[in-house]
Amino acid sequence: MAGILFLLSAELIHAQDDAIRYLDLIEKKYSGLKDYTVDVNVHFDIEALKAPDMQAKLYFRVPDKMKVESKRIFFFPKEGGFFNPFQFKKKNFEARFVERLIYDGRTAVKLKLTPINIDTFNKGSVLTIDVDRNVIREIKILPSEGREIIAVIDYGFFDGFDLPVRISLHLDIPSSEPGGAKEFQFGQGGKRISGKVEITYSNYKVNSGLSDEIFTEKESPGSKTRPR
Amino acid sequence: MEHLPPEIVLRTKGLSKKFGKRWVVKDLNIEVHRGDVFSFLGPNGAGKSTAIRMILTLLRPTAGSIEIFGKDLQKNRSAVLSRVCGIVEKPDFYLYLSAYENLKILGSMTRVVRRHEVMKALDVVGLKSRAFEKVRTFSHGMKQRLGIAQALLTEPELVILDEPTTGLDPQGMKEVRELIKRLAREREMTIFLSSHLLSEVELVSTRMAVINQGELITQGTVSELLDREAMEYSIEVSPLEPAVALVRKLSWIEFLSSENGCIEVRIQPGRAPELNRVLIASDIEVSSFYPHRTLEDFFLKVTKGTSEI
Amino acid sequence: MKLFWFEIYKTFSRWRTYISFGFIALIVILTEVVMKLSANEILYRMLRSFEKDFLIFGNVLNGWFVTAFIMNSLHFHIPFLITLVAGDVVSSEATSGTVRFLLMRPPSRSRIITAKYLSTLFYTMGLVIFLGLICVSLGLILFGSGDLIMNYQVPAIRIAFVPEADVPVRMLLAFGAAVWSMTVVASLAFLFSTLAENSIGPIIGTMAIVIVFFVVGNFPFDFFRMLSPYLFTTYMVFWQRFLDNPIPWQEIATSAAVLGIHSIVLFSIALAVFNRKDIKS
Repeated sequence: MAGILFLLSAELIHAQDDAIRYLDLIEKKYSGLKDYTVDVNVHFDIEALKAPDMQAKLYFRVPDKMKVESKRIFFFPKEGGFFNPFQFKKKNFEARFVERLIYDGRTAVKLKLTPINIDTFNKGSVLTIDVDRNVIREIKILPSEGREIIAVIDYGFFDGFDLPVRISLHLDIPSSEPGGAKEFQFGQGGKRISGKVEITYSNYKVNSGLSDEIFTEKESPGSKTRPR
Repeated sequence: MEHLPPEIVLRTKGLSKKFGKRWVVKDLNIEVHRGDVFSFLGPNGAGKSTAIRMILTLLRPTAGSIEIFGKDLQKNRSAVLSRVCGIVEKPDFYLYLSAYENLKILGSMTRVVRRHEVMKALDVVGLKSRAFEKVRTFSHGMKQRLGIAQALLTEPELVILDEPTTGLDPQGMKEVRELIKRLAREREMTIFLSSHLLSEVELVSTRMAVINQGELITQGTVSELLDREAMEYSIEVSPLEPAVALVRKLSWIEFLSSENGCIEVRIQPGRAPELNRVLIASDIEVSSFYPHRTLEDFFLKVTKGTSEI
Repeated sequence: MKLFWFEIYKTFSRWRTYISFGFIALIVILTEVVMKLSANEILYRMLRSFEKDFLIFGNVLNGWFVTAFIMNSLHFHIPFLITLVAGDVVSSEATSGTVRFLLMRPPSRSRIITAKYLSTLFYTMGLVIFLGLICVSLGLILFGSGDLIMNYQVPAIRIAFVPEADVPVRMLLAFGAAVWSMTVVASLAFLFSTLAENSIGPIIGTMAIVIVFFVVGNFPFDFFRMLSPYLFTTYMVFWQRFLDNPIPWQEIATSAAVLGIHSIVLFSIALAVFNRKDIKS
């Protein structure tokens, strides 16, 4: 019995080591990335959100500074929308190897990541990683509070880095909380928002040396800006 | 339709109005001649106002027809009413507008009315100095005068007045009376008015009709109607007793009373000279011989059904 | 035309007409100032549901949104202000006695009543346009411009975005539709005004019908839902559809037709009543 337990735990440890290795490879791949600026176009294919395509300019600086600049109202998915190659640092997650597979014709692995600090919002994710290119192809946010999100990422090569050209988000989320004035409420309890959000990225400027000032713009009443 | 003789301005034929089951006006046939000051008399509730309102298209007749200037009123309403003006009961105006604005609006509904015409109409009735004040500041008498001003403004050929002196003081009544006579005389307007003030009617009217309980009792000139009736006379005589004895003997004389050297008798008009001759022939001195002939007497008679007519 | 302008002149010579405009201005100013002061709270409540899953940027609480919000919340205020004038336009003539003077004039009763009706519609249009102008101008000054987010419950719960460039034209169409909607209220009050000798009855009667119909039409029970298509108040909010994406033209056409028919029928009845009415006062 002890032997079986030993074998199982050894297998477990081996699986974890393997998973961490893939995360390391990704981290190493993007170690030279300091910042990028990109034009973003968001297309909503959601019944509950009839909106035209929205455009914005997105700024990113390592490790996790994000800023969105838009002249118009801009909705941007929190989960899976921003590309931050450093968001899955091994120190923040317990990573477990799930399986090997062929994804989109390429060799890939699936890893299950569980945040070390679990909150009610994020129960973890399942990553599908293209092992040849060391890029994350798919992020599946594990269901929590009825929320299911899958992000499928396509890449292009810009200034030495594989960066997303398209992220397709598949959403199935609850629409609202009860209460609140009817005029203000978007949606009612019990209804869901499901559909697809397609984000396309273009006009990358990589490592242009973005300053702190860009990420510290003041918020004005009537508008919302949320630097990550 | 038959063509009216040109002098008939207003004619009703079988004009009737029923409210519910009650006939308020029944089979009214009147004729108003051009240049007449035609009075419409009747006790309260006789149907005068109802008849006038039908003529002015405020009420729909239940039966009968109205012809004005030879034209059927129903079929030629607009053409006819452009030559007619009316005041029904007290004249009411837009209190929040000035006298000028009221006349301008009301007058312009008939024809184009210019500023100087409005001011002239106000001047005629003595309201020029108040032209631009809100009508809510006007007294009743001033509103009445303003009503006449709006009647004059479009120079109608037929003016219809329902109780035009209601609520006026004696001075106001006199002014309205004089104005009515002037309108008929100087402007050749035909006036059709209803009034319960018989003394006023007698002073201004040339023709009249009497209506009671919705039905026409009589119509004609004032003198024609009054001349048909027996009249009362006051005769100052001396000596009194023989005169009284003589008068009592005569069958064609109705003795009424004697007092202070005067005897009161009622005789048919035209027989007064005969009575005078009889008295003188009987050595009775006649100092004065004058009639008491009032419209009020006539009116009370016809409306109570005691007339010989 | 002359009669029409006389009626306009009379309507706008009365101080009570200006009460309506003053009231509108006051409500709009108060609402927009309060919204400005409470912008963060409003945004939080507005976007609470979406904030969990979306980052939201841009001027959400802009002048266009505030305008749409105010329009949406004035279901009774605007009809009441319209009724104040429409319910009084004929009956006040009876009360004051001026109806006699009016109807003794050459113009036919049909022309007179039509002129009064058109002047009532003119006032209605003026009031709604005034609301729009003051909402938009003050809103844009206080909140700036931006895309418009509209929340809909019918036929499904959803949000519609209207790009900023499209909003002015959409708003114009929406206000036009609002004028069309209010025409029914004006027509109803106008009809009551021809039936009454004073203004109180028409005003109360019209508001009673509008309120009852509106409440009944919005009760979430099957029986009332069945009645809803037969109540004109159900169609009165069709102006919102011009702020939808895509614009449901068929639905708009149906609503406009239903409301138009109501107005025509109500006016026709008023016309018939007025033409046959005996003026005894």
